[in-house]
Amino acid sequence: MEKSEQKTVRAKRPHLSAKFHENLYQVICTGVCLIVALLCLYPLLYTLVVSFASPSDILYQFVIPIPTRVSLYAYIQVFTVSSFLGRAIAVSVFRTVVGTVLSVFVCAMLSYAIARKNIPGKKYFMYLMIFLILFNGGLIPTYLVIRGVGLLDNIWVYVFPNIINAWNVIIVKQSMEGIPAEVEESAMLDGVNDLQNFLWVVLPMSKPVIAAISIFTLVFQWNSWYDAMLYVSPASSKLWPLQYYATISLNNLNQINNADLGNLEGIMGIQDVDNMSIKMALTVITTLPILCVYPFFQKYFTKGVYLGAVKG
Amino acid sequence: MKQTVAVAEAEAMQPGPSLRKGRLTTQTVKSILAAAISLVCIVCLLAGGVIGRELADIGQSGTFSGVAVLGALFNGGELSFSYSVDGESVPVTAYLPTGMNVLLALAVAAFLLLFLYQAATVAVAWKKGDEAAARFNRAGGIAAFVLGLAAVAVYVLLITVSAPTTYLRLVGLDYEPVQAKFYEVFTPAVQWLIIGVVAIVAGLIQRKIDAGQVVLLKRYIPSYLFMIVPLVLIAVFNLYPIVLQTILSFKDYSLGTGVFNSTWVGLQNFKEIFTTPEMLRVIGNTLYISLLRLVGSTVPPLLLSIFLYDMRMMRTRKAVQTIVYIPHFFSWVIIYAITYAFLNEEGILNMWTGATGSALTDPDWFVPIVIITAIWKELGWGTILYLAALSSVPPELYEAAKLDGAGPWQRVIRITLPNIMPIVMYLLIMNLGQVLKNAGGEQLLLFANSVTRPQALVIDTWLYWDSLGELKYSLGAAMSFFQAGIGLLLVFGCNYLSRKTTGIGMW
Repeated sequence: MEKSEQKTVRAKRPHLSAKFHENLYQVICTGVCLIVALLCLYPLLYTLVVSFASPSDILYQFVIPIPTRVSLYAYIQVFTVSSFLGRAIAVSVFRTVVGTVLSVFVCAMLSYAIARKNIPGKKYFMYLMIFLILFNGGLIPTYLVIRGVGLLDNIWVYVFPNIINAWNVIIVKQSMEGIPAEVEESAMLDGVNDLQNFLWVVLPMSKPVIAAISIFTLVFQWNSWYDAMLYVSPASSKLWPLQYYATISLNNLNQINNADLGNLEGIMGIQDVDNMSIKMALTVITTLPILCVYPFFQKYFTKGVYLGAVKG
Repeated sequence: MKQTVAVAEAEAMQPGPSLRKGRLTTQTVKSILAAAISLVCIVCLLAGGVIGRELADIGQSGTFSGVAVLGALFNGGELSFSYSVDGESVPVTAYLPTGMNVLLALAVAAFLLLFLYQAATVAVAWKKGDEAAARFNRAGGIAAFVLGLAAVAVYVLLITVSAPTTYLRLVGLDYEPVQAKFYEVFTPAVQWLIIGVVAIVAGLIQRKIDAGQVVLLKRYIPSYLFMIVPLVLIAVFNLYPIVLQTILSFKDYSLGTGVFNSTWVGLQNFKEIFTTPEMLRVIGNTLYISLLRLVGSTVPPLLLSIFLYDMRMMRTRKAVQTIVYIPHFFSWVIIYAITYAFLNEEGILNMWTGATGSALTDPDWFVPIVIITAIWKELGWGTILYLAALSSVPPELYEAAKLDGAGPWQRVIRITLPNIMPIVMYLLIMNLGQVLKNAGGEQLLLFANSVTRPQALVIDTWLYWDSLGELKYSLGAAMSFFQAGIGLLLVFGCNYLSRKTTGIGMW
């Protein structure tokens, strides 16, 4: 008792430098955070500025990312001269939209079935999901299977192998189990069958988690280029998504890809592929959709990470 | 709804007197099913193949029935067959090693005993009623389960054990004895694998399903329909590659013959992985880059999250958070493009330092660049979990510490760190379990060029460059198998460790 009283007394008259320390700490905290934020932004601004540089600039050495001479040369090249952009965007949009919708719907279907109360075999389906997360067929067997089912050089290769995501299944299942049993029971009493129950009762009630996994699937699909490199040969370059064009425009792709890419100018339809501005313009175009949707999904992604990381 | 189910279950659990004998109760159906399955198994083993003759240089593949193998037991293991070359039949005699012969015969005999037991169960169920049948079924379930596992084990043994096997080959007019490894002469029939899995499933059904479960199964049929599409996709794109990988790792795959007709090579591929210096360097490199990445993905986000959490200006904090999360959503292609813009010969870094070469083509700079860009990408994202953990620290602790006169630094060291240590340790340990997979193949593939390729050679990039690129399919499959298998063991080990040390486990 006495001790704590003493402390209270001491706290009422704080040491003179204590306030100074508090303030110093605040300054350091704010300073570090602002510097980190700046470090995150600066490269993006730099890229943006380089993409607007004129072709006569050889050195792109802007310390402060404010362009001195704004030129639309790179964008004109990419948008009007090149032959690939429209097609590449179409492929990217296709794989993003179709891939996300199918993946989320099918995963939700599986989650719904596993989340049913008392369904026999529930435990084993969960074991299967955990097994799928921990153990996977490597690159070679997957390649052989994709070749076996005839998905090589086929646009559906972006969709089908990516439909099942065991993490998403587990996350959605967890959320669906949180729905009060009474809701479902009263729906069943109204003579609702399983499909209607899934579509009109359970799915709408899991909206936040569905939104969260949709966002992650969407970003994943838009950002993917690896499967295009593996499964779609240069002969079917019309099936390449935008990300892969951005990849090959960065020019060291000939070392990445074992397959001979052939004539880069021919594939992309631009003469001046080596121009730095064009590469950066392509990068900016590739990034733009992500930046555009980013503000809308910000409120969902914390939930997504959380559910995914903490409890399996 | 619930009540009706409960009533139905209760009815099924306690059948009325009329259901007890000579009727198709759940127990009877189960015993009949089990007996039928074991009958199919034994017929497959006796009439179909137990082992086949290997392709290599002694003939086309074909199978020896269980009857032939049992017969060989009395014949010194002698098995004769012939194959035709240019329309001429060439006879070959091969000898099963005694151990193998006995093992195979025992396995066949065990299935025969299982069938007899299951047949007895049917009789018991019919004559004595449910309770006796339930006891018999439980034991039968265990037996089928164990035998299934044994069949899978026999299959694994047959493809890995290199027991010396002799066969006589016709050279000119004389027979010449040739020594070879077991799996080069005989190939285990796939039946073992199929029968094993079937028996395991049958055993599980026989043991686990009771009357109540049957009611539930019927009730949930519409829900099972929801699983058809997802499960088919899982089987094709997730499980089948795993099966292929397992088979390929023990074979020498060649494009001409396909996966199933390639020759078995036992543990050859794994031996190559663990003894070739190049492969060992690949594994070492993987560990090196993974561990660096692990440190980079733990310490910087932890510090940033502490600073963010202690920041008092809420608006600025929100703004900073919004900005630092952005890079996570960029693909590695974009990150590489930005890095390229900075580090190419004419990039901004060279202007500052006055250097002329590009850091991207300097092997010494490769790993630092990869790690720094990875930190840049994931720094903000990594804080989310730590921030969540921080917000669960009771604020009274901080107030009490303040009252006790603890300065801000002391509060960080004495309160913040000890309180979030469990979650940090948990994440660290779980990521340690993924150490063979987390080297970041996608990033390395993009960042590497012909000069820095040796630095970028980790398991994932090796798989793409050397295994897929140079058609070393079997070696690649063995490598993935090793990667996934060790990964699985590590995750289980780490989960155990995490639960012991931090009290948090994954399941």
